[in-house]
Amino acid sequence: MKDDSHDAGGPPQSGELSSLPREMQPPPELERKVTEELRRRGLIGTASQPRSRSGQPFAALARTGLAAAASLVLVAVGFLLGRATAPELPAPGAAQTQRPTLYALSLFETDGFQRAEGAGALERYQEYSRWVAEARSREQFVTGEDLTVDRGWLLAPMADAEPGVSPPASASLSGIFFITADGEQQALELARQLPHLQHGGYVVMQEVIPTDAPPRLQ
Amino acid sequence: MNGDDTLQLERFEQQRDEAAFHALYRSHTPRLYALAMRLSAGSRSDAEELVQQAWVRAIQRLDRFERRSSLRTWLSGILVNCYREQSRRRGRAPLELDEETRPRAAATIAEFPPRLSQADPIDVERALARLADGYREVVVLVDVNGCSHREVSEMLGISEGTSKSQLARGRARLRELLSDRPRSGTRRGTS
Repeated sequence: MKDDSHDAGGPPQSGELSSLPREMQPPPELERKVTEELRRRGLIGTASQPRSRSGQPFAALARTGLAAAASLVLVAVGFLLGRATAPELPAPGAAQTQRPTLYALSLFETDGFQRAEGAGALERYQEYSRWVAEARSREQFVTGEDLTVDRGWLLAPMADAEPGVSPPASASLSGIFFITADGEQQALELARQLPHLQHGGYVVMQEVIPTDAPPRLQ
Repeated sequence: MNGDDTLQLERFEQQRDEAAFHALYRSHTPRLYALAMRLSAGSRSDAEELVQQAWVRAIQRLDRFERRSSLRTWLSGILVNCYREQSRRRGRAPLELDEETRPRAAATIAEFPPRLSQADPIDVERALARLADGYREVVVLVDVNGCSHREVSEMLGISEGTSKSQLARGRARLRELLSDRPRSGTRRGTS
């Protein structure tokens, strides 16, 4: 695909765009899905029973495809049901069931954290994404968000909010709430009403960077 | 078409079996998947659906492939059309311009190309994902995938002029999005 007409303002120097990866590894199961769909439609045959170029697929192949499709539907329904119920927290004191316990992993950085910049940032993202993909493949991943670190508010007991994202060193992370607001002030207003502050706790408020459409590189 | 493409294609046309398809699939899907991920703004499920639809349609219409373009370009065009059909089904209008950004975009056409040198790849990917559909298609195809405006015009069924103006507006919008991005934290490791 040779670019022969970049004349919408001269030759591109947008190196960040042209250097983005043009390839991403698809999930391994996609190959199986596509192959099964092609078989189901009679567009390809198996290795031992290649599809005739002009005729219909073999009847046995069609039956196999239908059975596979039915299995896929069942798997998909099961997966959706699982997703719909998995994130629910068990009620305190509820009888233990087979449902997995929900855990929060909170990530911290200190001055000693090895930060990545520029192209290294993409590699770092891919590194974290591989961890997510692995956790997802085990059906253990629920959600994850990226937080701003250079803008935030520290709410302390009996004090007004101050810019900052670092609670006292002795503070232990004891809970996470996600809220929505039409801006920082509205969010702060709600944060100030948290009972946690009245009990001597600290609250750090950070904006969640929209990750509804992250690169999700494999 | 390059030699590998020709060999794989001929083998598939002769055998029409899984093994021959897998060879084709593994050669071209990483690129198709990257394109699908960006067009669908990072939605993995949408991207997988698009790749599957594109392969089904490509195999159905293989006899119409005239080999004037590379197989990769032909497959990309099919995927883009699948995406546009998906957008229409969902009530999105891929070429609809964002009225709010139109005047500003038009005003900055002379400033191209965008200076994105301060942006890191994660922010660029996120900004791409936030572009309006019509902008994203052209920016991804031209600036990321290296397509020509002629190829884009054939893929999208638009004039080359429209492709160029969409690219200009898309780049301008991208620059706006990058200029007011927040810095992200731990997950990408920069702070």
